[in-house]
Formats: sequence, structure tokens, C-alpha cells
Amino acid sequence: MRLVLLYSPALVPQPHLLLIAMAAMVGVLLLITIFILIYLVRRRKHEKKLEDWRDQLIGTLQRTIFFEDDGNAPATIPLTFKTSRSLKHPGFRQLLIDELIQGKKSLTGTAAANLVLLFNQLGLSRFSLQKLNSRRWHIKARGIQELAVMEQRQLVTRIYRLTNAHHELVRMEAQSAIVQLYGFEGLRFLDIINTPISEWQQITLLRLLARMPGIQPGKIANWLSSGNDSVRIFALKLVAEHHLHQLHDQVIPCLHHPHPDVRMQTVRCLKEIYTDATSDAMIQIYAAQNIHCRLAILDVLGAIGAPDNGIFLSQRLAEGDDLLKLGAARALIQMGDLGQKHLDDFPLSAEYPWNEIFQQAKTEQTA
Amino acid sequence: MSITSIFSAFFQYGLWLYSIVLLLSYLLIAIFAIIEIRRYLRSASFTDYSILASSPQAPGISILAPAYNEGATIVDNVRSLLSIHYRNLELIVINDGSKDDCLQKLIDAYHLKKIDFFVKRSIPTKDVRGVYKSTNPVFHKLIVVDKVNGGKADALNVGINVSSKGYIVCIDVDCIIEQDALLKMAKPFLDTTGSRVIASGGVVRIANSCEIRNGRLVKVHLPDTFLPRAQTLEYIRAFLLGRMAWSRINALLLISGAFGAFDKEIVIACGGYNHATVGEDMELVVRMRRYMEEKKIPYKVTYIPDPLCWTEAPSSYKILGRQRNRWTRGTIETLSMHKKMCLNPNYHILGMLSYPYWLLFELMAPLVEFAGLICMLIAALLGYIDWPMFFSLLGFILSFGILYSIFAILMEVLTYNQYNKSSDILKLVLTAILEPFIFHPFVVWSAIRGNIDLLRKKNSWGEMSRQGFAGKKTNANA
Repeated sequence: MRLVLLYSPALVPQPHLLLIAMAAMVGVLLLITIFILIYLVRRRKHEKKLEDWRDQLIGTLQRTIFFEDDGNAPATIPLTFKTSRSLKHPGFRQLLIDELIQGKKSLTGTAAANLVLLFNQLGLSRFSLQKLNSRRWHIKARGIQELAVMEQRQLVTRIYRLTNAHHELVRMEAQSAIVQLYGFEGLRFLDIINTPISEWQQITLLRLLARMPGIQPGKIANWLSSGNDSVRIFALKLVAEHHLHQLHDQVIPCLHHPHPDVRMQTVRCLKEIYTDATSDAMIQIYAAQNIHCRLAILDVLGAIGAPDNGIFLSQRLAEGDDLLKLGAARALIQMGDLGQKHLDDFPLSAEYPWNEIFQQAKTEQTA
Repeated sequence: MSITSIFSAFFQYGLWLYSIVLLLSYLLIAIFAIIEIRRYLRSASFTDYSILASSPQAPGISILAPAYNEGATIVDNVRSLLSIHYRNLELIVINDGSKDDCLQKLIDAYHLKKIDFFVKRSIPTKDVRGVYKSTNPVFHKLIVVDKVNGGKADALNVGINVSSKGYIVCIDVDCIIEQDALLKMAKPFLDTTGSRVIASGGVVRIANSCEIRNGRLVKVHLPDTFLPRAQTLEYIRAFLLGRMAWSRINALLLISGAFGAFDKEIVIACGGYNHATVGEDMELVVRMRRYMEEKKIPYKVTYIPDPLCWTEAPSSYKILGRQRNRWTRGTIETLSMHKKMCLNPNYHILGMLSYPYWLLFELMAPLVEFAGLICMLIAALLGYIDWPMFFSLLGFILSFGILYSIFAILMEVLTYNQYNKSSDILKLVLTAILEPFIFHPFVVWSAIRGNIDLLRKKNSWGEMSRQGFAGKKTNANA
């Protein structure tokens, strides 16, 4: 805190007013300190209580995970009297929901199904639904997450409406929830979404979809021509992730998209699904791209390794940017003997920087 | 108007206005910090960061760790950095012409071998003597660069030239980084749409007296001695309140050199770190922001309140004085390099708010305070002081300062609660009460000396001798 020690009698309040303000601040200061100390004591008590509850839940969760349905009556997981009584406490309930969600995320098969069974048996969806109905975004988002993880499909209509919600985090949670509940089918929100899907959200959705069957190339083909650039980029990632070679011809036009991020993603995607026609399409657009996209194209040409690309790649060795020279050298090395010959025949191969670049490319190949 | 009346008016109106604006700015900082931290914590409460740890789609990150004469601790420090959870990662240790056995220790410990490596000079630097990689696949993420000594900024620029990933994280090699730090740091770059995140900072905390084992922080303790404890309080105030508030309005000018993430493309476009200043961390952020403003590209500089990086604070007045002296010179150099932006509406909030604030309340505050003290002494000698008024004002301003510190402690307790013993909190409160009388005057004096050194064109970093987490004495920078 800076001190200004001079004062103006005309502007500064009278000393007694300053003293009153000072006394008020000292009072607040003492109150905050007392509050902190009380808060710490209460927090420690709360943590202790949480620990006790956790110990209490271990048995319940173990019984749930290893529960076997005898198939006669509706399946009911037995609970101890203590656990049933504790369920009246909102803190215990929330802890149980959190533990069930953690368990459900890390388990599969019958064990995971049993956790859902317990969630339904105790009617915990009611409390998650209350969160979904909340007007506060973080509570609403948490409610969506809980309902999705615990497979509450009866609420899908409510959640689906939120896939285009105004609040970004609510929207993201709703989108993830729909995909969790319906797999690839759940991606139908991509048909209508008018907001960008962040890279973080794309990574989340790709991870969710990685565990699910039922990819529909026809729908992805539609998204490849979406007016929403982020939808198009996401579709390209799906094509690459699932190696959808049948969509190669629909991917190629994206190389001419006005947005550089879409073009870049298209090049990356083509690395996974290339055909004989891929090289020509990329060589055609190469000159008009920024350095990042050019480097990506050289990388793909290297992966394709077609002898016909040798001349184009050896011409790139004379590019202005050293990284492009290195990219071209790497691609040629990947082509094998023919590419090596192109490097040897390059007139400046003994001069700097080519000598160092070629040496690095060769070392990388042998490493 | 006579000179006397101008002088009088300056003190009557100028300094009073200055104080009022300063106090109001602290209030606003507190309010914005509450809003931003609350937003962050709510969002983080249901974010699964592990998604990024295993995703092949995670953006590539290069950690750049410059090392100078770090032989005593380098092997443990690198081991700690290699254990960070992140898939698409490379760790580049830049040996900045160390005079000790730093490089040899790395070669021996990690089975390094010199490789053919073409270094593209995107940013001009001192010569690179060699690039080393491990023959052991376990250490495949590690790259060690040996270069001619050129200072921290030059070493970081070499790291940028060598790095192959799209984002760089610049750290001090002797810092302890939390295992999930990169997962949290990467998120702002990925979840922002509509504008480009060019840099992201993480909170730096004081590790003195903490339990460190095998390069990892095992248990947090409040520092035992007053000086590091005062810095703990100062860091809580600066990071948890100050930077979060500035981040809220996208007006942040400084990301700590100890731990910051940057968009490499923009760093290179701006020319990398500037070795003409000792405040290269602040200067880079200001230059990157200026670049984006001039190119009219929407951008953001973000900040994360999680304690992600732990560092050893100076525990002697001598070292602390050198550090604050250097910080002052760095601030002056940075602000003078970019004076074009001051009150220039073309630079929006950067020119109209961030720059003037730093100029008036970070750079000039110690000067105003020191000048005020001298004038007060003269006035006292001449009998011009109204002592009841003087003590009322002094009490008011001290109460405000202490209250602000206590509020920072409250925020810490309500959010991350790193010091959860009641005795620790009472020690922090006591530190807050003592700080204006012991720590703060020393920091002001160091800043004044920084100003004087700059006028005398003294531009060295100043030796930063550290105790070391294991209790050993090591030299960090020269």
C-alpha cells in the first residue's frame, strides 16, 4: 500500500472522520480475521464429516459394484440402516452422487450398470433434475453432467434443448450429455448449431465417441459442407479419427475453403485417408497456403511417398523458408532411394543450410 | 501563477487525487478478482482435465527451461519436469554457457548424445554449440541445447527456435511445477472462440519451508521466516487479486517469467524475447499485445488462479533488494519502449488503462511515496505539519493497506486454502500488520535504487543466490 503523507486542508476530510473510517476498517479487519478462523474450524469439521461419510460409503459402493441380480423380483441393492438414514442429509446425498459418477466414469459392464441401478433406486435423479432446473449456469451444467453420466435418457428432450443454449458451458455440457446418451446419433445438434464449437469441446466429443459404435459416414458428409466452420473442422476430425476413406472425395473440396483452419484440418485429415488422387489436389493448392499449411502438405506428401511427387518436393528444397526446406527433405527421405537421389542431386546440397537440413532429415529417419 | 502556488496546488490536488484513484483502483481490483475467480472455480468444478492428458488432439507444448550454473540441482529439476502429465510435450533445457558441470551432469544422467539438428534462426540468437537427445527412449521428450552464454532472454529465444510445437511454456528450471499444470494451462488456448489466446499465465507460489521430495512438492507450509512470509502474502495479493482482476477485463500486462504459456507463432512474429531489457517477461507480453492491437486481430491474455508453480523466494534483504531493483528497471524499460501506447485510443484498454495504471501506480508509486516522505520530513522540520491530521491520515491509509491484505488472505482461504492451519493464518495476519513497517519500505527503497541504477545505465541482472529446496546454495542467474 502506497502512503501519501501530505494533505490538503481544503480537500481532506476532518481528522475525526478519518479516525471513524479507520476504526471501521479495523473493525472489518477483525471481523474478517474472526470469520476466517471460524471458517477454518467449520471446514475441518466438514472435512472430517466427509471422511466419515466416505468410509460409510465404501461398503455401499462395494456391495453395489459386486451386486448380482437374481432375476426374480425387481433388482434392489441392499442398504444399511445407517446409509438410508444418512441419505436425508443433502451433503451425504451429494457425496454419494459424486462417488457414483466417479465410479461410473471409470467402470464398465455390470459394475457400471449397478451404479446406475443404485442411482435410480434411491431416486437421486430428482436432485440432479433440481440442478438442471436451476437458473444458475454452473448448477445447471452440473445437473446435466450428472444426468448424462447416470444415463437418465427420459430427460433427453430437456437436455437437447440446451445444446444451443446461450451460456457456453451449459451448451457444452448439454452437447456432451447428448453424445454420452445417444452416441453418434446424439451429434444431430450439429445440424442446427449456430455457435462455434471450441477445440476443447471437439476433443471432449471425440473422446466420448471413441468408445461408441455407429458412426454414420452419410451424416458426416453433410457436416463437411456445413456453413459453421467449426462443425466442418469437427467433421474432418471425425473422418480422420475413424479413417473414413469413403469420404475422400467429399473432403477434397474443403481444401479450397476460405478459412485457413479448415484447409489445415483438411490436409491433416487427408493424411489418414489419402488415395492416388490426394497428392495432386494438395500440390494444386500448395502455393496459396500459409507456411503451417504448406508444412502439413509436405508432411502428408511424405506419408504418401509417391514417386511422382519427387520433382515437386525437390523443387521445394529451394523454398525461402528453411522449415519448408526441412519439410521437403523429410518427405523425400520418406520416399526411400528415389527421394534420397533427389537430395543427392540437389545442386546446393553441400552448402549451408541444405547440408545441415539434409543431415538432420537423414538422422531422424534412422533414429 | 507563481511556482510556489503551482507546487502548493500540486500537493493539494494532485497527490490527493492520486491517492483517491489508487485506493479506488484497489477496490475495483478486489471486486473484479472476486468475479473472475468465482467464474473460474465454478467452471473448473466440472471440468475433466484428464481428457487432454490422453488425447492425440491435444496441442503440442514445448517447455523451455533455461539453465545457468544449475549443476547442483539440474538433474532432479529435469526429472521433475519430465514427470509432468501431458502427452504432446517436449522439454527443452537450454544450457546458457554454464561455467559449472551442468551440461555434463545432464549428459551422464539422461544418456544424452549430440545429434544433427538444424536450428532455424527464426529469432537471432547467440551461437548454438550443440543439440543433445537421449539414447534412452524413456527420456524421448527431452532435448538439451548447449549454447554460448547470452542471458535468459537469449536462451529462451534459442529454445523457441529449437521447439517444434505450437505453444511454448517458459519456466525457471528451479521451479516446481504441479503435475497437472500443463493440462490447466492448455485449456484457455482451446476453449476460447472468437478471439485468439496469445498468452496464459499461472499463479506462482512461494515454496520456502515447503516439503519437496524428488523434485515434487509434497506438503505446503507457510515460510518460517518473515521475509519469505511477507512475499507469500505479497504473491497472494498480486496473483489472486491483481492479475485475476486484470485478466477479467483482458488488460493484463505481465505474465511471470517463472511460468507462462505463449502462442509460438505470435512470439516469433513479435521477434521473441528482448535481451535489451532485464524485464523480458513483461516486455514480451506488452509487445505481443501491441502486435495484436496493431494488426487488429482479436486476442486475449488469460490467467489461471490455481497454484501451478512453486518458487523459492529470496530470504535475505540483499537478494530481495537485487530482485526488486531489477523488476523496477524492467518495468521502466518496458514502459519506455512502448510509450507510444500511453493514452493512445488505438490500443484500446491496453493504451487507455493498463499502460497508464502501470505508469502511475506501479512505476511512479515508489517515487511518489519516497518524495512524499522527504517532503513530510522537510515540512516537519519547518513546523508545517498538522500532527493530529497527519496521524489520522497515516492511520487511515495503513488500515486500508492491512485490510486489503486481510481480504487477500480471506480469498486464499475461501479458494485454494493452501495454508489451512489457524496458526498459519494468524501468522499471515501478523505479517500483514508488520509488512507496511518493515517489508514495504524496503521494497520502495529497492525500487528507488532501481531508478538510480537505470539512470547510471547499470543493466545487470544481479546475482540471485538461492538456498535451494534441499538447503544447498546455488547460483541461479548472473
